[in-house]
Amino acid sequence: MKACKKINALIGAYIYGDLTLEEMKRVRLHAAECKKCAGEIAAQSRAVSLIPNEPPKLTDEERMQIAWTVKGAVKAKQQAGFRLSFVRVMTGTLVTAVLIGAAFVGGITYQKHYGPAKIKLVKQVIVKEVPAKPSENRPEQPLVTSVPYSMMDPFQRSQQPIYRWMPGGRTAQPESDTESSPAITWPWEQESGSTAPPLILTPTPSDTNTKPEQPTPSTNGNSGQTQ
Amino acid sequence: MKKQTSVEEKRNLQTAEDELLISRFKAGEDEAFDRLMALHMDQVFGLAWSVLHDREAALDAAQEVFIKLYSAMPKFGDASNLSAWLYRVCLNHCIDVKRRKRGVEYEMTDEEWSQLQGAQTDDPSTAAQSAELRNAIYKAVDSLPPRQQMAFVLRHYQYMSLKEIAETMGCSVGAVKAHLARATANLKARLAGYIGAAEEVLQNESL
Repeated sequence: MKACKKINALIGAYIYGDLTLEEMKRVRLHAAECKKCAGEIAAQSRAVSLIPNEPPKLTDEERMQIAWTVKGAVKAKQQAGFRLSFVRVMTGTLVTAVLIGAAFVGGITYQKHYGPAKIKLVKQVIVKEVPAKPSENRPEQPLVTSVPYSMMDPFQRSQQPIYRWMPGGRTAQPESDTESSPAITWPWEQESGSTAPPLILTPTPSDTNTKPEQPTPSTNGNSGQTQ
Repeated sequence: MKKQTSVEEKRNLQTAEDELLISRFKAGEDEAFDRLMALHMDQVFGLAWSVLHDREAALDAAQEVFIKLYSAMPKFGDASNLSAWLYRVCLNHCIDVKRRKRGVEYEMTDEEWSQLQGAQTDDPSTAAQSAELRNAIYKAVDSLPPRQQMAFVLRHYQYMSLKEIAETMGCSVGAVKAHLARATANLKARLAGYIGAAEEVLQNESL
C-alpha cells in the first residue's frame, strides 16, 4: 500500500510525461502488478483528456483594446501621481503654515501671561500740586521735623505742638509752675523773668568782662555823626 | 527529445528578447513596453482565461497584469525572468478575482464552447450534453484549491515544464509534482460521472 501511495503521488506528472526515466519505469512496473493503480492512471488520464487544453486566442481587436487600455491607465496613473504629489506638497505647506501660526500665537499668549512685565510708554502726566483744603474738623498738621525732641533747643521745643498721645505723655500746656520750671535758668530769664527768649539779646555783665567794650548803638551813632 | 530542445531554445530566445526590451525600456524607450506587451499578451490572456473561464474577465485581468508590469518595470533586474513574473502575477490576480466573485458562476455561451471545441454540433441533445459537460469541467477546475489549480493550469494550458512551474510558483519540483498529482486525482473524482458520457459525446461529434 505504501508503494501505491508513492505511485499515486506521481500519477499527475506521469500523465503529462514529466517524470524522469527512473520514475517512469517505477510507475509502469507498479501499474503492471497493481490493477488498482493502473485503473487510477487510466481514469485520471481520461478525466484530464476531457479538459480542452487550448485556451481561446485573442482577436486583433482585443489585442488593440488591451494595448490601448493599458496605455491609458498608465498615463492616468502618472497624471494622478503628479496630482497626488502636488496635493501632498500643498497640504504639507498648509499644515506647516498653520503650525507656525499656532506656535506664534501661543508664544505671544504665553509671554502676555507668564513673561516679564512689559514697560509701557504712557503719556507724560504733569501732576500739579493742589493745595489741600483746610478741613474744618481737624486743625492743620504742623511739619514734623526729623530732629528728636530731646535734641531741640528750648525755642524749638516751645514751637513744637505737644499732644497727649505723644511718647512721654506730656500735657498740652504747662499749666502748673512746678512742672514748667526748667532745670536751667537762662540769662534772659534771670533778668526779665519771662520764659520766652528776647528778640534782641542784650549783653550781660559777664560778656562785657571778657569782651572789649562795645558802645551801645545809640552812642555809636552819635559818635559817628560828631566825627 | 528534439521537440523539447526546440521549445527550450524558443524560451531562451524569448528570455533574451525580454531582457533586451527591459533594458531598452529602462533607457527611456516607451515603445519597448509595447513590444513586450505584444509578445506576452497571448500567454497572459490564455492563463487568465484558463483560471477564470470568462473571456471578458480574462481581458480585464490581462490589462491589470500589464498595468502592474509597467509600474514594476524599473525594478526588474537583468536576471529576473519576465515570463515567470507575469505568470505569477497573473495567477495571483485571477485567483483574487475568483475569490471576490465567489458565488457568481459564469456559464460559457454555446458559441464560445463551439469555438473552443472547434466543432459544430447540430443535434440539440448532443449540444445540451456537451454544455452540461463543459460546465462540469469548468466547475471541477474552478473548485480545485489555488495551489493545485496553479500547477494544473500552468501544465495543462501553458505546457510549462515542472521546473518552470516550480520557478513560477516559488516552490520545489517535488512540490509541483505533488500538487499536480492531487489536482488530477481531484479532477478525476469530480468528473467521474462524465467520463463515459463524454466519450459518447466525443464519438458522436467525430461521427
